[in-house]
Amino acid sequence: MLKPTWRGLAGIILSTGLLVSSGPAWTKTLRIGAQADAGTMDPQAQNIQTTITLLSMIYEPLITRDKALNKAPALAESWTQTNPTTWRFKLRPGVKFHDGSALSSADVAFTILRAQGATSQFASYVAGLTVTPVDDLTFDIVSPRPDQLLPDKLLYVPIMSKLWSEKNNALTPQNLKDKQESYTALNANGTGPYRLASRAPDSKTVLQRVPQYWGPLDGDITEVVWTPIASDPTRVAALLSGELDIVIDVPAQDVARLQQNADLKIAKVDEFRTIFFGFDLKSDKLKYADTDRNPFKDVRVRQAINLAVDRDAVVRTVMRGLASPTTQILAPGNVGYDPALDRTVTTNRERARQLLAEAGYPNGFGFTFDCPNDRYVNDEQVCKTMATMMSQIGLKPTLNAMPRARYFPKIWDRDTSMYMMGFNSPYFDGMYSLETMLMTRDDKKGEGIYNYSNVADPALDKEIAAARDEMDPRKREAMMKALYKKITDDVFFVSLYNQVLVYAMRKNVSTPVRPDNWLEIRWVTMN
Amino acid sequence: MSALSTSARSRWGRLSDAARRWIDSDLARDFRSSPVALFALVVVSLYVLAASFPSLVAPHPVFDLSTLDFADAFRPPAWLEGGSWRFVLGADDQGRDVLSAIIYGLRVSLFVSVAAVALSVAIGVSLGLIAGFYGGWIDSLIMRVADVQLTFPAMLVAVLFDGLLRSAFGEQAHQRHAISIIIVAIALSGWVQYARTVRGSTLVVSRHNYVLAARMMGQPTGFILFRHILPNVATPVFVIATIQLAVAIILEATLSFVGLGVPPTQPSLGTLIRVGNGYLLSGEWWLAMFPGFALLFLVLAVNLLGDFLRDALNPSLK
Amino acid sequence: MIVYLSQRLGQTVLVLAAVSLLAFLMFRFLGDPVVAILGANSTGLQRDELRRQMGLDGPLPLQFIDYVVSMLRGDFGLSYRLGQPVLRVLAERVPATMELALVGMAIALCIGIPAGVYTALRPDGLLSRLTMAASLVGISMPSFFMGMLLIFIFSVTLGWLPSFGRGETVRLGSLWTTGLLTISGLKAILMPAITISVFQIAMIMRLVRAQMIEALRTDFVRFARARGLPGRAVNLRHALANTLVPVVTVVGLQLGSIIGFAVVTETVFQWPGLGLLFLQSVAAADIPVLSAFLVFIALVFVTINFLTDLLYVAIDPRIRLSDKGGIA
Repeated sequence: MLKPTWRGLAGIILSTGLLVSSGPAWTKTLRIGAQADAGTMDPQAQNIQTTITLLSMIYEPLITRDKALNKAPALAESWTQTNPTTWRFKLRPGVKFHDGSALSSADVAFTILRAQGATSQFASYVAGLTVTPVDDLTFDIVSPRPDQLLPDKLLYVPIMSKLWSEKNNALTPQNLKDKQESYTALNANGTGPYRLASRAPDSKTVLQRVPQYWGPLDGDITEVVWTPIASDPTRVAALLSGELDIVIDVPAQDVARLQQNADLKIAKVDEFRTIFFGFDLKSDKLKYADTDRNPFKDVRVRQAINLAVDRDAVVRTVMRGLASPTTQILAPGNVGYDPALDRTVTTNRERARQLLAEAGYPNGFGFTFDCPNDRYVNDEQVCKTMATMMSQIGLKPTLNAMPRARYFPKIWDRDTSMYMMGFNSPYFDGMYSLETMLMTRDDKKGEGIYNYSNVADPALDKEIAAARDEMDPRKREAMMKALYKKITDDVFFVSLYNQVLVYAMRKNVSTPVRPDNWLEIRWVTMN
Repeated sequence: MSALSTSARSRWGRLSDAARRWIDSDLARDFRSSPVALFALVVVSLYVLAASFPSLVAPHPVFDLSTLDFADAFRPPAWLEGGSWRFVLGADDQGRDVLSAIIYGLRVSLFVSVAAVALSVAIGVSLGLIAGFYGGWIDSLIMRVADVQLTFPAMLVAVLFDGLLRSAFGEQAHQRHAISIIIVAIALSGWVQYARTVRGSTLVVSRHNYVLAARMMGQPTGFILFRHILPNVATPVFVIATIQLAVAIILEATLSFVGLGVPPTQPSLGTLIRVGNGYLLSGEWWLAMFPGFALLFLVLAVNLLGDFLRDALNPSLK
Repeated sequence: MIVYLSQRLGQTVLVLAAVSLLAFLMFRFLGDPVVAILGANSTGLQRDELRRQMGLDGPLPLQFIDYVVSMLRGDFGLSYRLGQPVLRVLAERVPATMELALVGMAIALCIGIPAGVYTALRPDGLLSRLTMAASLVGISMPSFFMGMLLIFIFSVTLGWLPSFGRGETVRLGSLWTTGLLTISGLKAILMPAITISVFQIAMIMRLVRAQMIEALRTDFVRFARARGLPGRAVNLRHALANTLVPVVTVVGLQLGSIIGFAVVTETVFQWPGLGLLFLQSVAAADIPVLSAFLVFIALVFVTINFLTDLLYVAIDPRIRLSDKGGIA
C-alpha cells in the first residue's frame, strides 16, 4: 500500500512534529480556534471535516492512521480477508467506553447498522455491509461485492456504544422526527483519549483526557477547549493576543503577519482538498437563471467558463500564493492522480466569448451561483473573484453567499444551478470522488450521494463501476485516469486550485499537519 | 426666439426670487449664524451629489465587473509605496478602486435609507392623520400597535422583518428583492415616531375653527386632511425625518455588515466594511477604514443638520 | 393609580398575546416545520403523517391554543439547527446578554450623568463644547465600526484585551453563569460593554443636560439660590433630583435598545449571548428559535416598561399618570 509519494510525505509530517512524550504533570490546555463549530456531537450526522476532527478526539474507529498515514490498528487489533467479500476483525480486549461499559462485537454491528440509516451521512462508507458477530471480540464484515477499500472506509466510522444509544434513544443519527430532543446532538460516549466535559454549541466545547485510556498517546494535552470564531480577523486577533493556542483555518491573507510574530509559528502542507465549481447538469431549464434553457448542459458553455478563469490570479490575490492552480478535481497524492490534467487550459477570454456565441449565448445569460461564506479558506472572496472572471466573458452571474448552516442543506437538496465545492478523498483514492459525485444518485448503495450536479449517465455509471470493481490495482488506476481525463475534458467541473493547509500556533505547540486537514490530537504536544 | 428668452428670463426671475426669499428667511439666517450647521449642510450636499451622479464623480465604473484587472488587486492608497493616483484610496481584492466603490456604495446606502425614511414618513403620517382625525377605536387601534412596536428597538424590528421576509420569500426571491426588503424592514421600524407626533398635532389642529368650518362646508375628508392639517404638521415631521435619516443610514450599514442587508454584488458602505474587515490584520486597512470613516462622516453631518433643524424650526422637540 | 396600573397590566397582556400570535404564525407558516424536519425530498405521504403526529392538521385556532399552552409550559419546540429544546438554548444565552447590557448601562450612567451635569452647568466652557462634540460622534458612530476599531487598537495592536468571548465564567446556581467574578471575564466584557455604551452615554448625557438646563431655570432652584444655599448643593439636591425622572424612563427604555443592539456587538466580539444566537438563527432560518426569541424579548420589554412605570410612580408621585398613557 505504501507508495513512494507517501514516504516523502510521511517524512515531511514527521519533521514538523516534535515527538516528545512525557507524562502530564500539570494541566496542559490546548485552546483550538476554528471558523465554525462542529454541527453536532453525533458521529454519523455530519460528514464535514470540522465535525469529524472534533469527534475523532472522543470516538474511535476500528482502524486509524499512523503518522505516515498508513492504516494502523485502533479498536480492531487485526483484520484479514477470509474470502473476496468477507473480512474477519478481532477487537482489542479491555477497551471501555467513557461510561464504563466494555466494547464488544455487538457495538460494531450496531454502529454499522446505524450508519446505514436514512439520516446518516456516512452511509456510503458502509453501504450494503452486514456484520456477523462471531464472539464478543470477533466479527465478520461481509460486503455485497469484493472491495479492497473496505478497511479504508471503516476509518471514517467511529464506533458507538449499543447500550448507551439504546438507553438514550439515539438509535438513528440526529433524529428530529419523533419531536424528541436528539440526545447525541449534545452528548457523546466514545472510547477515545478525551471525553466530552461540557458543550455550549457555537461558543465552547471542552474535552478532558481520560486517565484510563487504553492506548499509548504521543501527545500530552490534558484538556482541549474548542472555540468557534466565525469572524476571520477576530479569530486571528485571538491567536495574536494569546487567547488561543492554535488556529486550524488561517485566512490566507493573515499568514504573513502571523509569521512575523515571535510567539507564533506557522505549519503548512499541501492539502488534498481541491476547490471547484459544479453545475446543474440535469434540469432542462436552469432554475436560477434568466434563460429558458439550461446553458450548463452545453459543454461549450462550461468550456467557456473554464477558459475565463485566471487561476494564477486567484491564487496570487485571494489565496496569497497558498494554493496550487489545477484544472482537475483530484489533488496530488490520491490514487488515480494524473499531473497532466493540472494544466489542460490556459486563460483565454477571446476563445471563451467565441464558445458562448457558438453555443447561442453571444450576449451571455444571467444566473445565480451559490457559495458558502464560512467553510473554505476565503470562500466568499474566491466566489466574488469567480463572478468577476465570468463577467469578463459576458456572463451575468449573481453571487449568493451564505453560511454553511444554510448552504449545505440547500445543495444537499440539489437546489442550485451552480455551486462551490471543496472536496478531498478521505481514503486518498480517486474512486471516492467518482463514485460519490458522478454516479447516478442511489443513496442506498452510497452512489452519487454528493452528485449535486445530478449527473445521470448510465454509460458513465458502468465505466465507474467497472473501475471500482477491478481487482488489479494497476489496471484499476489506468481506468481511473481515463475517467478523470474524460470528466476534465468534458468540464464536468470548473476547478480552481488545491489548497495549502495552514495551521498557526504558539511556539510551544507542536503538531504534524495532515494533508487531509485532520488535527490528530493524539500527536499534539505542548511544552 | 425672443418669446423663449423672455420665458426663460422670467423663469430665472422666479427662481432668483425664490432664492432671495430663501436667503432672507429665518432658517437661512440661522444657517449663516451657525458655521457648523453650514458645514454639515455642505458635507451632506456633497455626499448627495456624489451619490446622485456617481458616474461623473467616481474615477472608475466599478460595478462593470468586466473592467476590473486583477493586476491592481490590493493596491495601497496613492500616497503609500506601491500606490497609484489612478487608485487614490487604494484597490480591493478584485482590483476595484476603493474610492469608486465608496461612491457607488454611498449611492446604495443613501438610496436605501432615503427610501426607507420616505416610506416610513408615508406610513407614519397617514396613520397619524387618520388616528388623530377620526379618533375612537381607529385611534386606539393604531396607537396600541404603535405602543407594541415601540417596545422593540428599531434594530431588532429591522432584523426581524428582514429575517421574516427572507423566509417568506425564499432564498432566490430574496436575492432579487433584497433592496426592497431592506427598505421595508427599516421603514417598518421607524414609522411610530411620525404617527405619534402627527396624531398629537392633528388632535389640536382639527379643533381649530378653520378646520371645523371646512368640515361644515362639506369638504371631503381627504382634502381637509391634506389641505388644512398636513401643512401644520409638516415641520416637525421634516425635523424627525432628518434625525431618522441618520438612524436609517446606520441601520442599513449594520444590516449589511452582519450580512443581512443588500447582496454582495451591490455593495453598500456596510457591505464594503464587512468585506474590508477581513483584511484589517493583513495590512490592507484601507479596505475597511475608508468606507468606515465615509459612513461616520455622513451620519455625523446628517445628525448635525438634524440637531440644527430641530433647534431652528421646532424648539419644542428638544 | 391602581386603575392606571391595572390598565397598563392589561395592555401588557395584550401585547404579549399579539406577539405570541405573530410568533405562532411565523412558526407555523414560515419554513414549514415539516419540510424542515423531513427535508425537501420527502414524499407527500411522509409529510402528512408527520403533520398528523405533530398536530398540525387541526383547525388553526386550535393549533394556536396548542402553541400557547405548550409555550406556557416552556415548550417552544426544537431548534432545527442545534437539535435541542429552544428554551434551553435561550436560557443558556441569557446570562451573557444580561451581563453585557447591565455593565454597558452602568458605564453609560457613570459617564453620562456627570458629563450631562457638567455641560449644563458650564455650557460655554471649552471642555463642555468638546464633550458635546464627542457626544455627537458617539451618536453617529455605528457600533460595529466602533467594535472593529477597538479590536484593532486594543487586541491586535496593543494586545491588552481579548477580542472574543466571555473569558472564564463561573457557574452561579444551576441557571446563571457569570464572567464578572474572574479577571479574564472582566477583561473580556470591557470592550463589548464600551461598544454598547457609547451611544447610550451620548443619549443620557444630552438628556441630563437638557433637563438640568431646564431645571436650573425653574423658580424653585432660583429661589434656593436666592436663599443663599451653596451652589453645589442647589445643583445636586434640587436640579439633579428633578432630572432623574426622565432619566429613569429613558434608562428603562434604553435597556431594551441595548439588547437590540447587542445583536451587532455580540457578533463583532463573538459574545455568546442572545444576539449572536438570534443572528445565527436568522442566517440558518431556524424558525422555532426565532419565534421563541420574539416572545422572550417581548416579555423582557414589557416587564422593563412595567417596572419603569412603577419606578416613575415611586420617584415622583405628583405625576399625573393618566396623561402618560402614551409612554410605553
